[in-house]
Amino acid sequence: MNTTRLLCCLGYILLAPFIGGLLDGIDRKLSARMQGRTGPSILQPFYDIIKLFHKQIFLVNHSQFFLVGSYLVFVIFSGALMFAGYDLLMSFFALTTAAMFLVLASCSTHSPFSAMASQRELLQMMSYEPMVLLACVGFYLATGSFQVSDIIQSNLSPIVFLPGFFIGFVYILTIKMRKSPFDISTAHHAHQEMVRGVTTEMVGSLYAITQIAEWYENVMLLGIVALFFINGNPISWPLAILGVLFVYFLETLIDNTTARLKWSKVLSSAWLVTLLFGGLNLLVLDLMIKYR
Amino acid sequence: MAKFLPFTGTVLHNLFHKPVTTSYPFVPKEYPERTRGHVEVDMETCLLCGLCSKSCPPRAIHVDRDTHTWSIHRFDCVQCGYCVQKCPKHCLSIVPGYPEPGAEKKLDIYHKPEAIEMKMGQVTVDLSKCVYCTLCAKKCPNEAITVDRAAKTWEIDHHKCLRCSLCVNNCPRHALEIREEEGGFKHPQADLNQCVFCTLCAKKCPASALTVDRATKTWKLNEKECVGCGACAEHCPKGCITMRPAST
Amino acid sequence: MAKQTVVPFGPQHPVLPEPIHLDLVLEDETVVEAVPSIGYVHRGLEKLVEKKDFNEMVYVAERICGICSFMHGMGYCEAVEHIMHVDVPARAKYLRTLWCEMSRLHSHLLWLGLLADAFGFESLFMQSWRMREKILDMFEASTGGRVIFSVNRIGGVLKDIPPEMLRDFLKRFDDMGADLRRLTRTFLDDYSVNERLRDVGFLTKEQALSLGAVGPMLRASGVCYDVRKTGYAAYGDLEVEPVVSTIGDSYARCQVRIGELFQSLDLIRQVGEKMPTGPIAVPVKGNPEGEFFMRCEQPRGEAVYYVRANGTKNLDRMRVRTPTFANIPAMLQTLKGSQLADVPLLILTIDPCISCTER
Repeated sequence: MNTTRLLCCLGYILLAPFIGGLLDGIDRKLSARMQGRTGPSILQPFYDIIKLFHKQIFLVNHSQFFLVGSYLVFVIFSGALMFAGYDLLMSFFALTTAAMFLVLASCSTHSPFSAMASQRELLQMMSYEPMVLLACVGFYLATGSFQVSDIIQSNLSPIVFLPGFFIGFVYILTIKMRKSPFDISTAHHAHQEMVRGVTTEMVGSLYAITQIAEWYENVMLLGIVALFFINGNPISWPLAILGVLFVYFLETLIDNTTARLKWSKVLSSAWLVTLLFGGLNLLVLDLMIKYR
Repeated sequence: MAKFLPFTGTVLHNLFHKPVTTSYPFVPKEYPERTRGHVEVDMETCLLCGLCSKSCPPRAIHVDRDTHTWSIHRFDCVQCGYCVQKCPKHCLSIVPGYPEPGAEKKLDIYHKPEAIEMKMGQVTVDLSKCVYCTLCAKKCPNEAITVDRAAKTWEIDHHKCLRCSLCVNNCPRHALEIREEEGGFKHPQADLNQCVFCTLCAKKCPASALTVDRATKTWKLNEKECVGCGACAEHCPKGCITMRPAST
Repeated sequence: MAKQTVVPFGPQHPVLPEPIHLDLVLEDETVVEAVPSIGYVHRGLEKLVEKKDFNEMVYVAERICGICSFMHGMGYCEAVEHIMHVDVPARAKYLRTLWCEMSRLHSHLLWLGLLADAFGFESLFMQSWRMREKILDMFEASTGGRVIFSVNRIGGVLKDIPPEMLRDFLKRFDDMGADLRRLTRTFLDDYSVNERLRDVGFLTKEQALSLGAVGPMLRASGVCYDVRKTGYAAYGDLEVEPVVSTIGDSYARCQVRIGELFQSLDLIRQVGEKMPTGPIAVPVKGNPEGEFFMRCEQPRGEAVYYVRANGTKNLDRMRVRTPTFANIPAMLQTLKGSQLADVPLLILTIDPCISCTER
């Protein structure tokens, strides 16, 4: 059992950046085709990262390196926790810590753009955190455990009990992945009032690290999406991968069919969805357990 | 009222159809025939009259009658086509195909073929044939000719004359011709803005036709003494002396 | 009162296609005041009249801006033609009108794309520009240039559009109508776009008039004013009815410009029906002497060309009052009290052309 955990953990640490980068490349290609463009090669994100590492570094504040490094470490830590099959709750809180380090890194630069963007990043965290925590609770109620290793051994896929949670989670995934209607603190294309948001002042390899951390984070988030589908039956695994790919396609599609909203709308709509879908689902689940 | 994601149809349509962008420059673009890409010159008919260079809004064209060259700064050219309109011999054309991008600006130089040597002669008039119709003056691209019908005078400013032969070709009475110079008698002319009054030219002059005074900054040529040998121009350290056809 | 911060916006900012600088005084994310400074792309084009003769100036005038280049060239030509009492042939006038309306189409499509980009709708931006590309192709086929056309001259135009090319163009414009309707539906009806455009950056009719707004900015605030009604070029023979909206917010400005897209298509159809035959230019003799104010309606609004000539081949003075210059005070008014997230959008709703403004 312990060797499996170790292997999964190592697998995540070594493979996640490649999977994340590849997914990013696919996203770019899909977006390009949706816009009628030929688009870059699928490997373009890797070329970009390599190029970023060759750039000269300008540090506005020397603590930035430490903070960005911590962001990466905590993202990897939270992902490793989850993929090794440990506590989901623990992993989510580690992810929140990671996000905090990113905000600190962006705050430390004194640039008005990144300062405002870090405020917005905090607002974003406020909008998605309730749903993230609710999802945790949902998994517990559906399977009776916070341990990922137990969740994947359940008889039925958690999504059967958690359709509302799933919708809510996909909704906040758009915020987490910085996709179009909700990319208020940083967008994948910089044509916005915050320039490049929290990463405005990050240069060269520093920016490359945030990019890699983002890939780790994306893989972990998609892992949670997969968790909704996986049960004790091995057939559920390919189904889960299909589900993940569908969700990813959906995110790209939404990115390409909506305008960016303002932060107040992001906050209110995220909470509304959380309350409506997550809350109702929680209520129903609670009643089911009580009268089982 | 407000619709939810109405753009999805278009996006999905794009996704499942061929992209509209091409891999330019790997797939070359086809230009319509009217595209103003770059200026081309036909040096065989070009007279080096310099009208194109004078009318060029960004001054990208340079014409040098001494070295018989027509040159263009490709990156300065704005492809407006005004030179094509102005060319009296229609030897300029603007054709598709943009100039290649480059790391530095360079001059494209075109030489007039040796075989077609320029006529450096002067326009002369046979006043017995001339009826003072002023057609030559109207055709002259550089306003070098002045004709007064009432006073029956015909004058040409040889410095302004471009020797484009438009007047000769258009004269209804064939009263004009360009007379080739025999040996080419020329007088030196100094650009006094550049001259440092070093007196070297005066010293070298075999006919002592030049008087240069450093104190009063004067440079004088005795035209009667001058033999037009060009020694002064050859020895001028500033290169400010040019040999020009005698004005009369 | 919240702490005030000053955010430098521009001259180099990803949102801005051209350099203009705004000092945004913010309270949290609310803009209290916007202080503009311009002058980053001043090229001294007006001064060039001293160096270039009045025929050469046509090419300088049309290079004032890359988007309404045709109208700049035409405005200057018509001003000089008026001084010199040149009677431009009817066909030249119609050709000018056709190219004017094509310019308006491509300019408004460019604007729609930039607007989409400002509210973060990248695919809509691409789609708008894709449609604009079709018009640029037609420009290239008929004039030889994609953005700078160089077809105007004092006394007419330099290139004719043969009948078969004109027929082909008219057919392409007919097909474009359906595509345009599909595209503009997203701008007018989409939920998220509405969320960004509606009730943002109000400009009342009184404000628009007193701040001297022009063009779609003015018409979106309910003022029915379109210089095309004065009948320059061939507009006198055509039916032009200004597109007006009374709401006065960003949505109204978008609506007016979309309305003008279809109006341009209609005008092009009218031009196609009435296109006269005959010469496209008349020879012009002598030098101009006198002065004249020429007004024309550019995509961005009313532009004024003042020309004074003294009988030599160089003009005394040429002055261009461009629409963006007139719209900047109105833009500052809409910026006051807006959210930072709306700033790019509000800057764009005047359709700024900084090269025009600074010449």
